[in-house]
Amino acid sequence: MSNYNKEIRSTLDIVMERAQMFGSLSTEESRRLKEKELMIAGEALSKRFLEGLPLREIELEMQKREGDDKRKVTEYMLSGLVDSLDIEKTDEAEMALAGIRHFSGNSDAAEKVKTLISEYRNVLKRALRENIGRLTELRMQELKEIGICGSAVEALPENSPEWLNIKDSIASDFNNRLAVLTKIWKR
Amino acid sequence: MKVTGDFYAYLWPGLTNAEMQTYGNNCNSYIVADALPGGRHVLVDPGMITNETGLKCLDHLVAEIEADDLRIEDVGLIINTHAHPDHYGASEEIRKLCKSQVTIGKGEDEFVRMTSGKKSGTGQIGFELPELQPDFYLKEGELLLGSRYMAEIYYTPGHTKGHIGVYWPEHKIFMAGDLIFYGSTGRVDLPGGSAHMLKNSIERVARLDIEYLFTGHQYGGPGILKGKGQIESNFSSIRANVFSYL
Repeated sequence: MSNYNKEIRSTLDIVMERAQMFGSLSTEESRRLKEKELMIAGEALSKRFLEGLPLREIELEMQKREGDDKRKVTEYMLSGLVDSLDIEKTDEAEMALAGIRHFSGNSDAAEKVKTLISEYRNVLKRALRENIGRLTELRMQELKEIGICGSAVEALPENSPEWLNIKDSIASDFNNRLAVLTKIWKR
Repeated sequence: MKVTGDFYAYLWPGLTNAEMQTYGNNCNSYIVADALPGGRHVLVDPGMITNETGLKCLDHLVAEIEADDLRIEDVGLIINTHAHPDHYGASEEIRKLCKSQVTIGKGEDEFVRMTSGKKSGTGQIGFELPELQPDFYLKEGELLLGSRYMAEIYYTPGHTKGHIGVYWPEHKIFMAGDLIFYGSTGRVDLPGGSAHMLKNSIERVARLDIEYLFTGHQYGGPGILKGKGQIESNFSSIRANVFSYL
């Protein structure tokens, strides 16, 4: 027997084993498998939406399912979109929010998230305005200590570790508030 | 390869068409050794990590630097002449090796914002760009490095919006990036390019006292032009033969 035939037989064996396994699955195991399949489908849709697949295309995908399956895939997709929300990535967050608003039908909660994102942007801008003088001076001093200075040097306080710490602390507070607001969409 | 004093050049092969095809694209890199306190070097335009032919450009650069008894770990500052991946691509990777500072012209800030956080850059333009997170920007003026070196930063837009050149007056060296090459100039048809600005930038640089012109690529000609005569004749040739096509 050639190796090729051995391989085919082996694949057939596997298929047969799986078929037998499915036949002997308990109701609970079948339910779990089905749930996993719906979760994968929902998460894949949220990922594709965030990568730029238009809402209309997502809806077409959804229409391939019915009843409880459709509801669950939608819930998993929403959950995936909510997981992607990061207050520091405001552009991406707004995109996810557009999907959440559309598929959840809860525009009030989505509006609250949008307001929170806008509040975060304002707080961040204000914090930078209040700290920029001190951060710039600190940065220029650090550069001078390692031998870099002169009129050509323009400090970039937005990339300094001190500013990143301030930013992280603000973001952490807002991400906590975001988690509370988005709880309703989490599975 | 030592050029003069503490100035070293690492020229990416491209003297002939065959070389260009074999080695693909990458820029020339330059080092000013021991320019910073603690024996740390300044690296201008590190080039790419890997180029379109699959060649490991950064490994190649590291090996060449080591052949000159220098170490990539001793780089303290990376200056990028402009925000094209074939020039700045390895900046963040080298920073990891040596905890160096990274800088670029202030005029490239739009590009920098786009690439801060790889994913945003990828999404907007459809392909992945290497990340660039400068520690500070450079604008026109003096760049003092330790107590030994002073460079002048020239804003030289045209190839990109925020392109800069680095002039070392004491050694009469100009590091031109993609402003000017042997017999040709940087492209102006890419986003941020401008023929009018490129011509103005070239005319400004042509007025400097230059003995060594360190270019960004060897596109069928030498990467380094030596001597006032050759450099002036190159400027004249470009005015006569290239300007009208830009």
